[in-house]
Amino acid sequence: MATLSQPLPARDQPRRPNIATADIQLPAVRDYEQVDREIVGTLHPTVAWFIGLGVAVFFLFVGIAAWMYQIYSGLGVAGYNPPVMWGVYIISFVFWVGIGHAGTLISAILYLFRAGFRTTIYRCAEAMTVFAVMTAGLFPVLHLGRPWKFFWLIPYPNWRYIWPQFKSPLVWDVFAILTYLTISSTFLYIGLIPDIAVLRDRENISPIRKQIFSVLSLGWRNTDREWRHFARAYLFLAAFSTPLVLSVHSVVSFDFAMALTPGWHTTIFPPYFVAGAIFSGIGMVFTIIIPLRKFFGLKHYVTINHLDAAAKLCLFTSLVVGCAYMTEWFVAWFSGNEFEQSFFANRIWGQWWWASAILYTCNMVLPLTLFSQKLRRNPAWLFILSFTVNIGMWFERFVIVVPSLSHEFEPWQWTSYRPTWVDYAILAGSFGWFSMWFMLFIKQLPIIAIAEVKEIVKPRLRTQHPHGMTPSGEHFDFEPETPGEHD
Amino acid sequence: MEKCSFCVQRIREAENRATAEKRVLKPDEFTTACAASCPSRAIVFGDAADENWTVTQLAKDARAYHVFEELNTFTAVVYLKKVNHPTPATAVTA
Repeated sequence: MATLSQPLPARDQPRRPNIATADIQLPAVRDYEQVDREIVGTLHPTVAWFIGLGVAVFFLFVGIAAWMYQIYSGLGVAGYNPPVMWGVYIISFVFWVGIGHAGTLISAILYLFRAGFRTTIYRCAEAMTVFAVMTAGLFPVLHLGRPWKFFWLIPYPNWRYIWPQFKSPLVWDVFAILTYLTISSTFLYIGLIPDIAVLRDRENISPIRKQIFSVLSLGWRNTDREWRHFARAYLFLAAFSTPLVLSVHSVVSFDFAMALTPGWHTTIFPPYFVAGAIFSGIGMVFTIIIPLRKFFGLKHYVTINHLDAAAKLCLFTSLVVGCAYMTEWFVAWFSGNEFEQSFFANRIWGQWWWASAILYTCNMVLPLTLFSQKLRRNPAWLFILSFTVNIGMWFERFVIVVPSLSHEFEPWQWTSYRPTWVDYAILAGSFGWFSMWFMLFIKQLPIIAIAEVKEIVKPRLRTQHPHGMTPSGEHFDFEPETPGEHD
Repeated sequence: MEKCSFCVQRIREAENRATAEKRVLKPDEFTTACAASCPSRAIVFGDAADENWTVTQLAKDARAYHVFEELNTFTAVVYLKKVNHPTPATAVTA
């Protein structure tokens, strides 16, 4: 991590509790017992948590009610109007798949690259990935007029010999999403095994829980042999899921790029979508981790340095996405293709100019503030920015889907599109569904990888002065609010 | 709304019948339900890869066109242009 390359402080100077140095990443974490105590301590349900869960479930039911109304009345209530037959559902599908990308990027790719800052945020990002992909998977079904026929997308032998059209990217989507869901949830589970063993070995745990955790931890006993196999399995899965991070959103982008519609039919779409997905995913990681580290009292685990490093990744992907937007404009002008040119003019000055304006402001302009180290190390700003990033990325998909479909090759078909309350209710329901799973997760399983944090906490007895202690043997007073930092 | 499967069940039924009778398919052996029920016979369906089918002959008509042919779509559906005022230039070959 680049921000760690500060010189070591002199031996007799007390370290600043929240600021990492080259040799110590988590200055305020003293020993293994503290890690166990503080991270397992986050699992006790609180009143605020129950309220949050209640709100999430309420929105989920709002969405379910809207969906039932839509099934009863038909897809017309979702504002579909030929030829704009893709609306908020497809936009939200791409949006949620995109959110699901940061988790595997952080947990697998950054693991292979030995990026230290992933340690404390990867569990949260990985859980977010699994739940976001679960949410995304709902949208193609919500988009069906007869949702009970969704299994027709899966190739299975039947008496009519009907087979999905494998030339259609929509079928590739099914395979890409299901593969990604399988691998990312396996990866999440494998990483959880040593932590589940920690939960299992707690005192005063109910016998039913103990049995469930015993089964889930696969009889983990912390032996050398188990750790060796675990490390190899984890490395293997990291290498296995790395190409998936790139492939899944490439396949999602083929939904558009393989069509002839102006604004969609470009070869830049796969890398552009992958970069955008990682950008929005990191935004969502900030949206989740910044409140969590505050309410769970984990500021000395997810330190400012970790947020700083993730913010740099966010800035980088924002620049990639911005470059892709400018390439799109350039190619539209340079190609001399009149359909493409008139479409891009319509995108910027046409009916949906405001959506484009939101998109370019949120995705290209506002993230440039992250060039300032002061703002990168300011969690409040990162939290605000994470919202604008996700709003911007939602509107990016809106600008891709709706203006293209409403201004295709045939001028007599040009039309408008207006989302209805059903769309908004189902979108709110999807956030409720995602939040419900996440809320349940954070109180059942540790949100920070206990085993991996212990790897970066210095073991006792290895140094003369135990880490977190002054040379005279006294503990530092831990201060969550470090003077001088915007936290 | 559901995508048209071009009455795959009728095609399979004809294929299975031909297999059971140990022969190849005859020209115009199957058609879709819409073509069978079309009162003005405006719809013709069949195996466009076989020269002997009616649909293959009709697709060679001078009036035949594909939608968005200029965009290289090559759809499976061929339309015949309606000619309201025949002139010597519109040679009808079918």
